[in-house]
Amino acid sequence: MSSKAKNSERDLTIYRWEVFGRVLIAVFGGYIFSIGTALLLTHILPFERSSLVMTANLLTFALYTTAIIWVFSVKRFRTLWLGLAGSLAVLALARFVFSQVNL
Amino acid sequence: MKNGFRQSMAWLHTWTGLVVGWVLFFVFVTGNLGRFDSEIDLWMQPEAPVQTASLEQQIVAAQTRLQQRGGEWERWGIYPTTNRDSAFLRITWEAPAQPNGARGKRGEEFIDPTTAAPLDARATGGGQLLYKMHYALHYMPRSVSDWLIGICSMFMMVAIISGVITHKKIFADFFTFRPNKGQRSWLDLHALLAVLTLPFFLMITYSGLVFLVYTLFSGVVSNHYGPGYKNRQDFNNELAGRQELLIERTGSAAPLTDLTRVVQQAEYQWGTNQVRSLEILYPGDSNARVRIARQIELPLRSTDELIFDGTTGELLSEIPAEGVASRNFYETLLGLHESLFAGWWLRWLYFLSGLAGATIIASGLIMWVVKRRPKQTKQKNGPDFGFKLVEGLNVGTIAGLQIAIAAFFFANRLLPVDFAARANWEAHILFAVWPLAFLHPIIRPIPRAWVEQWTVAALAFAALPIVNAVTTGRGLNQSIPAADWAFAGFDLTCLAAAALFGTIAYRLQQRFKPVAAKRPAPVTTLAQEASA
Amino acid sequence: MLIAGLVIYVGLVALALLKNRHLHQLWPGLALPAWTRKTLSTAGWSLLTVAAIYLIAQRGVGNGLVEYFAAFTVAGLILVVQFSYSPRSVLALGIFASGGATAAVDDN
Repeated sequence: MSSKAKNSERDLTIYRWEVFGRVLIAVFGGYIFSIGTALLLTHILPFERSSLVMTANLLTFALYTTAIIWVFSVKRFRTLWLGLAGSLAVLALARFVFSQVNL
Repeated sequence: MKNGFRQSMAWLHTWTGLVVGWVLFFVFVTGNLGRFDSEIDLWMQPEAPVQTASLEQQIVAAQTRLQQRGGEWERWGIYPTTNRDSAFLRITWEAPAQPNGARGKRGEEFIDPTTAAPLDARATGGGQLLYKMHYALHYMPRSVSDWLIGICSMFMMVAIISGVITHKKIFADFFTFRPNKGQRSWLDLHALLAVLTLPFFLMITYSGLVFLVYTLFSGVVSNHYGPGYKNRQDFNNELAGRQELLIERTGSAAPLTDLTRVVQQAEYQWGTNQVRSLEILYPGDSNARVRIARQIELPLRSTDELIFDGTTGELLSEIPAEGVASRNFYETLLGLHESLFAGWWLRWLYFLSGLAGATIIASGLIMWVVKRRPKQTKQKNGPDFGFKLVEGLNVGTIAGLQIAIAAFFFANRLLPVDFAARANWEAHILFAVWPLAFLHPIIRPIPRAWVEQWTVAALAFAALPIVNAVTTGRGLNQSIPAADWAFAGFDLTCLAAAALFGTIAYRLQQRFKPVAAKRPAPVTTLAQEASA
Repeated sequence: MLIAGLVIYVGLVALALLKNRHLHQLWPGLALPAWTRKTLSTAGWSLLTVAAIYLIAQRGVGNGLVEYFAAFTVAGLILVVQFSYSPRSVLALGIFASGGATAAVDDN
């Protein structure tokens, strides 16, 4: 009886931490994903600078919304770490391309 | 997350909607009122003379008044009354950008074109203030409100998408509304309004976010153009093809050309009544430029522009309304949000959609309470704190905000006309009355609190046209025969609001009445049976 | 925009009647044969499309689409209120709207 109660309380705590984790990854990881992807597009697409920047501006919120939806629909929590790593990679790539272009 | 994709989205929808629902309700109600900002401006300055000055007269007055201000300015703006958007002749001024890159301080005033002096009418924030509150809130700098509104709008965007995903029977239930079935009815109303106005809802939320992109995702522009406001202006000018404006001030003074001659050139090119606004860059400098924009007639917010040399009045370039695709999309998206192109009936349809939006938010918040009430009231120690908090916030926001807004309009009519700080105090009164609406449900049972607040709201809005008539003499008895549709429209809308709130109060009152009081007496039937 | 609104309304009625929930509000127990369903479906979607094309042709893409969604929303709301409180009126208004739209189109 008491071990069951302790288990369910533990489950609840795990659940709450999971939700908290997802929120953090959605908010911050999602932001990294959106700005990284937007910036990468502006650096690798061969169009005029101002037009690309505006396109990127317009896309940011769609990217962010998609990322947030993804974070809360993925079944296993560890998949989120992959997503976070991927987003950081995208941002790093964007910075790398930027520094190459500006050399 | 939860077991299924749809369940996860339902969970996400509930939380994103609940956490910021009350702020979003405020944004929707004030923004919706902002749809008629100019009409409300007119109502809130009843002693302002009817605006009949010609465009030329307005330009002369504006230039005179602006040139009275000495010193160095980044830009001036002149907005004559050539379109519905400007109730009165408006001038704006902006100081040069600050050293830290932020935009320079800005100011504006309405002026009387016959005197080139500020409008001789009561000081007020007007409808513009209500409209401004919906994107800038109040009592905080834009740097803070931009983030708050941006975050709430992102919550809303996620709420919309998760709502659509989770609405399994979106086509089957398209026209379904089952009244008088409690939680079922609230869900029907919520989903049905959201689906019917989905294009509007998606547009208004996404465009609202895009308005804030330079704050929320400043890295995109600053990565390519550098940080700060000036560099962002360079980006904007480059995007629009305004090469002539990609200049700095020279520092040497030169008198600004006579703006009426510049406007004449514009009218010669475009025809009469086509000038929407003037913007003067670096007035008083030898590198001054005048940018004249044409009237907005399409959702595309950008219009034809003419750029003139500010000292010689010579035409330098013509900018077409349409530019590159991404800019067109941006300007159309924002133009749809602002609805500057809308005639009066389309404006009313926008208003209806905004009402639907507010109802969607309200019904969602109410549904959350209704769904959990049976379980919460059965609990041993009574309902949870969170539940009671939501109940109270619901009453104070959905009904209470209406009372606060009525108080704002009452303040406009009742504060002394010569009270210097009355513009600020109209807003103070709104934000002083509103907290009372949150305190009220703490001390009253929730059903009673709802009925009482809706009743107060109904009485307040019913009284407004009367107070207007008594204090200004421009009541419905005068405005309808005179076809003064701004004044009549305002008063009539107040009466319609009063009728709506009164009906809600009455229906709730009927629903919350104890059942025993309504049963017919069964004793008669028994007596009849006994004697049969 | 009024004509387009009437056309949209009729189109929505056609599509609504494909659902038994609404069909049975007007004709309880009726089962539509397959060809009737096909006709209603085609007619409904066609009318909705025609209204869009008409508005875009008349007012340009920007204004046309805005008016289309506005008319759609209003027509939809009216239909919802009718189905909830007075299903019979759907038939009456549907016939009136068809007649009105046809007459208006004839006039133009």
